[in-house]
Amino acid sequence: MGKFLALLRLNFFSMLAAMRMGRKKRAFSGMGALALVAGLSLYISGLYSFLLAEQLSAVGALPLLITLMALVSVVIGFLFSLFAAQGVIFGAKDNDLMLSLPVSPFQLLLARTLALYLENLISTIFILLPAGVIYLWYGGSGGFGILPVLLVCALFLNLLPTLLSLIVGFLLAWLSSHLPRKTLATSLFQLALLALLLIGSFWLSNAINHVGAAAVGISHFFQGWGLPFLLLTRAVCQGNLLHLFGLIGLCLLPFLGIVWLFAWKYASILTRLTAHHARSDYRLGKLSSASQGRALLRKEARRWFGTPIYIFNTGVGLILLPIAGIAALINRDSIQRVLAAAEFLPVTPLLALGICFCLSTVSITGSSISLEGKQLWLLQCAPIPVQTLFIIKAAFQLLVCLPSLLIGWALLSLSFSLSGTESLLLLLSSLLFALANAPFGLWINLRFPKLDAVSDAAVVKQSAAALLSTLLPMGLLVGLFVLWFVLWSFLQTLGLMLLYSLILALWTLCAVVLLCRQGPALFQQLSE
Amino acid sequence: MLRIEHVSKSYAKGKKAVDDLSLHIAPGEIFGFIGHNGAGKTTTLRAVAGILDFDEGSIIIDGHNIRTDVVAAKKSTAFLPDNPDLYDFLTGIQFLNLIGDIYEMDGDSRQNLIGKYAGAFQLTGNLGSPIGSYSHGMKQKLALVSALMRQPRLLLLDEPFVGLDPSAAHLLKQFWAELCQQGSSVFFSTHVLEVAEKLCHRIAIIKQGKLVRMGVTAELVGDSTLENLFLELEEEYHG
Repeated sequence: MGKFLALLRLNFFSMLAAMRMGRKKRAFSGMGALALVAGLSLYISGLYSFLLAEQLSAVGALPLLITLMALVSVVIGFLFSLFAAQGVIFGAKDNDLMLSLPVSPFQLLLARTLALYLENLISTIFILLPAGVIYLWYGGSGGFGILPVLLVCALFLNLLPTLLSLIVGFLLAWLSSHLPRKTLATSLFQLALLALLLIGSFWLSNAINHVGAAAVGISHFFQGWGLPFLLLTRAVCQGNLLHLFGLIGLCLLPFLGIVWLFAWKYASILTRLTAHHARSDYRLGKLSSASQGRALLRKEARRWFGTPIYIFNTGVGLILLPIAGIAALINRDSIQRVLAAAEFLPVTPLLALGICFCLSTVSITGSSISLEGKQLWLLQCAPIPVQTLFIIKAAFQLLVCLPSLLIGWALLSLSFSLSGTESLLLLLSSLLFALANAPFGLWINLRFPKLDAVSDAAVVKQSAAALLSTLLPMGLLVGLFVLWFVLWSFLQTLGLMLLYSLILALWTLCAVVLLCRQGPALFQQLSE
Repeated sequence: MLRIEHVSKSYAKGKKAVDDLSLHIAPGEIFGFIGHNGAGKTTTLRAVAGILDFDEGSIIIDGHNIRTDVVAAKKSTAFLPDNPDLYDFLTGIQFLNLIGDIYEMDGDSRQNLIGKYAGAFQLTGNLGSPIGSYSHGMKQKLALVSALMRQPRLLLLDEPFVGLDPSAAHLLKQFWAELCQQGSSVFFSTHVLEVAEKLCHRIAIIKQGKLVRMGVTAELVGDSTLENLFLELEEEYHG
């Protein structure tokens, strides 16, 4: 037991260390990052719970709020840990050390999975507890006594998203270890998963608007596969202990069973994952030379395309933009009808915010320095000015963004029948945002580097730089939306678009100046 | 070839890793840097390579100041750390090509030099495989090929013999001699005192960041051995 607890502590703290921001005085602990996750979960819970409670209380089906929010917590937890599972459980760089320790594969797998569980627990608790409070606010039965029950339920319900992530991570690892083209196979599988998740999210958003009318149908829907959610609801709303024990059994037993089952193959999968297909028949042919810039760009591209977790954590927006454009084009008639009805509303600034939101998720440079890791010495002793290295890293992000941005922009402009000026301003603001994001991500990564992460997943999913380089630009977009809300009746479309362009130009300037002024010194400090 | 003048470097909490270090290495010289663990050897080598900034003093490589003329200084050197981590996602030949491009080598000379060094280290057949599939020794050899193919004016190596098989170590010494005949210099740190004694024209011994002995190997060692000298200095210091 002592060994297991030591392993659990090690894995959990290594995950927290991945989130830690900075060193010395500007340190911001991993706990701070967890607080950020808690805040985000609280926001999601508040938003959905109020929306649902309003409709459900009207049809006398308020307990369904607890059922649905339990489902939301599982979906969100699954989303948070989905791609992390493969990295944390199967792709950690300390596999050799761990496998050499006198612990069983079951203990090792359980410790790593529970580390993921602990990370998920924050989001589950901060989704379920606010839902409970809102349930009481709308007159739900049970009094404040339901909150401790809800907390106990959260502890066990949280095993489900962790288990789902473990299963997906296991499948991905199994595929990777058995197929010759590991990277391609993993990428395709993750792409399929991502598509399913997007479809699921759209479905959930649509369903929430009609949940009141379909309350009875939804209740029936949960009988069967959704039994844990129904048991949770009855345990909380009716105070039924038997249902609470039922929920505990339904969550705990499959979790332990699957971990035990996977543990049989764990060591062999880890071994196969680290094995590489090696050739010894290479013949040296004619070699051609390229410029320094081109060579480094090619290296950045090989790293990005060769690391599925990197692509999928920084490439979702690249897929979303053209999809949004195509969807808008298909629904062009409906859009025109809505636009005609809301003629007075300036829509183009909202389109700009939408495009920029997609681009804000493309923070390749936010992990680019951290991913250099122990190979950073190669760049540090290369005869290349550090500014050139920055330009190349930023240029790669822009090169990746541009095709998607242009396709999305063209299709949206066409679908919304924008005038030439509006369309150009939309392009300008989007380009400025993309232009700012690349150096900004790099600057954030230089300020909060994570060069000793246990896996690539820890860098691109959990590091402070990856988080901040995405969330801070999103914060700017929230500010721009507030401006739209306050000023739309005064400035109208052209005025708002000019204001956005001006703000984004300043944002770009700030990002470039910050990187140029502080970047070289921060880069040098990385070796201290 | 290399002039280190009064270089000092402190880390956090004021710990001095290198303290007023001065040494000169002439063209064609093999210079050994010896000291116990944490003496400041790696810090010095990393400062010379331009990886680590230092607090005081100056470092001039082939006439180029590492602080003010950093690109030219780095272009004259090839540095290998004690455990060279390379890009696992590249194949061996992709990595060598990347290095060739960064150091602006033309295609023909790159091909000849890779052929020469990779062939000698029996690595050519493996160059098509990802570096992730290489053993530690193969990575070490690939890193050496990438350093030697640049024909550097100054070769900087931190513990270069760790992980090398005896034949590769023998080859490496031959290639050093070859480089030195062309006027280049080699500056390396090692714990293998026999190698340093046999190979180096001059030696410097460093302790807690300070230079305690420096000179022509034969003169320093005299009738004794380098190991004895090192141990004597150790006793002197602790006594």
